[in-house]
Amino acid sequence: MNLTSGTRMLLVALTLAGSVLVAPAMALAETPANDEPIGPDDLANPTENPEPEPCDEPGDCLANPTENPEPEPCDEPGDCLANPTEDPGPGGEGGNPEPPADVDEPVLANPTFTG
Amino acid sequence: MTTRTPVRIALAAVTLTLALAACAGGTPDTPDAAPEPAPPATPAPAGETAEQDALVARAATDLAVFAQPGDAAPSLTLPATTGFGSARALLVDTVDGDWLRVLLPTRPNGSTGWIRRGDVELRRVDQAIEIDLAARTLRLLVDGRVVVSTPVAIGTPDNPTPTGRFYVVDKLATGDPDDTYGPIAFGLSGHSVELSDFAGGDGQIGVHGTNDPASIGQAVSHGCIRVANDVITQLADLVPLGAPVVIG
Repeated sequence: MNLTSGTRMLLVALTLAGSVLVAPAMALAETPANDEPIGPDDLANPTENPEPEPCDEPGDCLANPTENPEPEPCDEPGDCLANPTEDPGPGGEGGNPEPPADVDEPVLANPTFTG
Repeated sequence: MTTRTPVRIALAAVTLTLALAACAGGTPDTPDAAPEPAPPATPAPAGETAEQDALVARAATDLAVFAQPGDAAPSLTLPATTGFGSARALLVDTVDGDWLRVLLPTRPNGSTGWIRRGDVELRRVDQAIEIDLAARTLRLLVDGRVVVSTPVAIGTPDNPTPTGRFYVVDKLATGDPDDTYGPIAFGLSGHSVELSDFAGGDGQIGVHGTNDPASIGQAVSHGCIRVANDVITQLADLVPLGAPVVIG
């Protein structure tokens, strides 16, 4: 087909114009529908939960510590039987315990002391 | 996320600062801390010098006594109970490693011997009896405090009550408040110097009640110490075997 140069230029121009019009339409057709608009808050607070960072610095995890907390005081009898912090009392510290002196009961007998 | 680390460091610094400030406020050397008032000084009453926290060795079996620590053979064996049936108790004079020097309830007065620490059970005794022959009084001290003070009868000039450091060897119940010895009699580790035997015994000194309360306060005995029956009953509830008795 013999076309004049003017006709060929017109066809090229029409082709280009069609491409420009069709491409956005195809792009809109492939984009899923989003019920809610994306606002600035969504960008600042991503919906995905990131992995928690390790508590590798003092004070990192004050609100939700993952390290061992301070031991509780032994303020009730029996609290610290396994690891007592209270004074073990006389005879403690690894020594032989010395029981309190018992007051002996008298023995029934006839004395022969120097009255 | 890079903006969080500086925030955390700042929070940690604030927290640490507050914590240090709180600790510093409780230190006793803080200049503006009000010192606690010192307790008032309480001078010890005169005469309260009886030994405290004496050690008493209790033996459950016959006890070997040695003349010196480390001797191969004992010089004496004490039965597990006295001749009256009291449990064996000896006042400890010295602790030397695994050996204990004890006062012996044998003549002469003041005799000592050594026993092995592993052969006995050690008990701490807070009670001590002091007898003042000149004042004719007996005092019981517990933890250094006088809890009983009472007049006594003592030995006559011909049969004086021996002086020295002794201890309670026997606690006997006569079963009869009207007995010559009253309801209770303590046998001591000391013996009469003048009498080698008495009433079938070996002249052992005692602290006991009496059926002659009028004799209290007099020098009328053969060497024993007499107290009122209610007093000896009270002492029986307070004094264990082995408790020191100082007579002077």
